[in-house]
Amino acid sequence: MQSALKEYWKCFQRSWIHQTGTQLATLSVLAATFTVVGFVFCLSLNLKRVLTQWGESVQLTVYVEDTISQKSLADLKTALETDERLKNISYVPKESATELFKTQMATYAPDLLKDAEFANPFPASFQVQLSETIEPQAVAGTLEGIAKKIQGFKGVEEVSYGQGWVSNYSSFVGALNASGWVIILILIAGSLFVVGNAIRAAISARRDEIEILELVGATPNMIRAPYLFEGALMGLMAATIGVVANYGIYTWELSILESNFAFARVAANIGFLGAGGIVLMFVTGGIIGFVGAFLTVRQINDGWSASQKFDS
Amino acid sequence: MIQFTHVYKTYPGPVHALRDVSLEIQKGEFIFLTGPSGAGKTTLFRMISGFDKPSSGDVQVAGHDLTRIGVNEVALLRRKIGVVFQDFRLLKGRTVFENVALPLEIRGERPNFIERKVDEILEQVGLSYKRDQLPDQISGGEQQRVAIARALIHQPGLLIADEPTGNLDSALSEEIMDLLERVSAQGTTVFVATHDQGLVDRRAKRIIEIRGGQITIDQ
Repeated sequence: MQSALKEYWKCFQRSWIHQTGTQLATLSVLAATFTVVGFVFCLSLNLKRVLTQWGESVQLTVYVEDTISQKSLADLKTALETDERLKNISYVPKESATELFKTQMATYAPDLLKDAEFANPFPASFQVQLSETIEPQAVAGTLEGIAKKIQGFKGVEEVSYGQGWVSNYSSFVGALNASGWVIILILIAGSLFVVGNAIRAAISARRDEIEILELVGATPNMIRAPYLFEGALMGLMAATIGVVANYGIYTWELSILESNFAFARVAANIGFLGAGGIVLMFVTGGIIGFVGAFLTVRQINDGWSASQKFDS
Repeated sequence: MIQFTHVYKTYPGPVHALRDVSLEIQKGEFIFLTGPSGAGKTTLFRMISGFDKPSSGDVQVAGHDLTRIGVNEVALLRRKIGVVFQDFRLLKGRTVFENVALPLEIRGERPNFIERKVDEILEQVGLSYKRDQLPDQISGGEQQRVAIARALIHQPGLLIADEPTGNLDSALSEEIMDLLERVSAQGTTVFVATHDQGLVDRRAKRIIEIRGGQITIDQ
């Protein structure tokens, strides 16, 4: 195993020595691809973080009828408190709602505070927030489900959560995720093609070597193995460059957000890929390189190629 | 060791490279294969070494039926034979030692064993002192001896050599033929294709002549 790896490594070095230009071009294209893939991945993660924070601020208001019984009110409260999708449940009595309204409107209508005749038009309500465990794109569906469930309780007048905004928000997050995946898939398909071409060039340059290996009894898998190793290593190198480049982009963006966009308070929610994300990038790089190479080497060498060298 | 029974080989065109070839070669024999260019010598060798299949007829080599052989079995067949070419076919980026070691590496032998065997065979072909040289740094005759060492390192039962002296002067040619005779004397079947009638005449060996894809002389 160790000597095989040593031999594969030698083959890889030979490819770089004899085809420096092709190898460099391939690595550059792949590194650029993985930089974009990493950037989209990182952007998607950070947008998700920011949008999750926004999603948490979505508030659900459950208005209750003036005539609701104490038992129904208690049942409703219990239902809200035991629902794991909800948090920060607070009850706003009818009087508090009125007082709050008067305070908020005092600037515009000072007489309102002194008006003893002011009728109380506001119903009592429960104010609740969504738990942070809800995925951003699932916010609209979750709220709709909760609203339907609560609406069925006796004494509930209306459930309100800014349906239009939430629906748009969820659609936006969904579209963002979908487009991110489309970009990543296109880039991955392109990477397979680029790796395949590099391996094809390496095979072409080492045709004589392949024929000699066949001649001395190498099996097709023995001949393919160094190229698969080369493809995987190339993918891994490109992924490493992509991660390093993205870290540079991340630190640069973070410094801009902290200095020029401090008011937006998003810098605290921006992060890099994380250990899991970085490992995922490396694994993806290796796999793409391997698969790209495999798609090429499986088309060649059926054990008879050296015959092309013979003259009848 | 080798048995051809009514073998035909036709390439697109059609070109009839072999026509009704039947022959039998026993273990340990030394045979010259002669004939003009395009007579079918290389086609015959290509079949023996598993690089081509007959269009019809039956070919048996070292216990393998080449009419039904699969890709992985071809590799096993090639591990039982050694092949030498006119143009040496050495890996330019590898040293003499590494070139000769190749068949043993393919068979997954241990490094210590490989080291010992390669040193032994290089001594036999008189190239121990060129062990770490690259093919381009040694002469044509030395390159052919490296190729022969590579073909023999795994002690094959059969050695086929396609014009092994084609690129060498007469002195070096004789040297190579002496080496092949020594190999044959040790029990390896040696099958040599050559144009050089003088070389054939100087050695009293079985001769198979092929012309137009047919065996015309077998004596």
